Amino acid sequence: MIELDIFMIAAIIFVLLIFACGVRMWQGPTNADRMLALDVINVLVIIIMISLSARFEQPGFVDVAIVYALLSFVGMLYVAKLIRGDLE
Amino acid sequence: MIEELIVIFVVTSIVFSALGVAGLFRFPDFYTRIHAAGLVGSFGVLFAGLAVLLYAYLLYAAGEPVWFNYGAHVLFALAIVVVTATTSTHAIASSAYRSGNTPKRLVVDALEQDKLKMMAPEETRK
Amino acid sequence: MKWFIPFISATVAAFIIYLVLSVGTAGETNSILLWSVPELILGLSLSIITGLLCRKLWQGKRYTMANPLRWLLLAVYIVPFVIELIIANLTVAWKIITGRNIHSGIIKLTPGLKTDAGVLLLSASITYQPGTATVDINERTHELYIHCLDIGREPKEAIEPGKIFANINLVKWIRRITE
Repeated sequence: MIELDIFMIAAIIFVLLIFACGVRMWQGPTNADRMLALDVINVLVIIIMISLSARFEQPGFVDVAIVYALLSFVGMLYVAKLIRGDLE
Repeated sequence: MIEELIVIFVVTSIVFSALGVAGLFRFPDFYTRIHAAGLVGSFGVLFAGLAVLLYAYLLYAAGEPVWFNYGAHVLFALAIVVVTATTSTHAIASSAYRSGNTPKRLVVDALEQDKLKMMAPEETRK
Repeated sequence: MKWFIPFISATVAAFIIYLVLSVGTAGETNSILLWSVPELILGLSLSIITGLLCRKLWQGKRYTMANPLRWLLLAVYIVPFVIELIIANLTVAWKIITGRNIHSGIIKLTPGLKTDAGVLLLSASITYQPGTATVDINERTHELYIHCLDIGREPKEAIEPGKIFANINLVKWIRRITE
């Protein structure tokens, strides 16, 4: 209805921020830094999904965001246990 | 009125997310970068969600009742992000400390003395 | 009867989540409030299956949070929490811009909360605020080890429970909610 392209601009800027986080993942001095950058990337992907669902007016995209949030959370817990050394 | 509010919220979200990602590069060590990541997880997500909620309200007021359900889904996604961002931040910090990544420029470290006490085997739960 | 309380609580939690996700599906006929009757029947049967599957995953010992008045207080708790969140966000954003005043350290906090739910709520609140993050928890004595971005120049190892947040004493709120 209303011409609001602000969500598309926001999505493009968030993609650029994801590339910046990728630089931190590339050069992170320790493994924990890489894990932290991955966590930030997960949150940014969720923001992008929600913005694009508003931009294209598709209500189904938010369900994908919910599932992505839950699965990425489980993945982060697994990587955290791996770095901690509980998994031999 | 509401369109301007949407633009303001989206710009706030972009600004705080960009500051958080910039903090990943500006802060000196890992434990301070956690706080910069928290900036993305709190204001970046919350303001983007608020803007999308306002946009859904605009569409709902224009006469499409499916966007009410959509707003509930966005609220649920925000609640999930709040809970999981908190827990995963704590998991990252805890596992980094346990794996021997002690912070460098530190004024005081109270956990250092109590670490042996913490590592003692706890009573097993049923 | 040992499985009854976890069964009921898991069923209620799953049913509330289903209600939130299917709000606004009411049609012209055959609907209760905002939900249509087939959705309600499907949600209730799925919640009961979830409760049956989760009946043995229970470690709770106290039932203080079974009071619905406490959940109402927990909803009111969002207001001081958001005020603190705004202050913390602006502070950390200013520190990122200028890059000064970073004296980080891990300090010990003895909150004096009795229940596990109170310690969970306090540590989650501390971690979600930018500027403070819970690094470790002693589960027996309920002491939190908190990494702060700026604790001042003079080294101090412990902090009082009232000082960890900027303006509002959230520990007092949490004690009122969970005890």
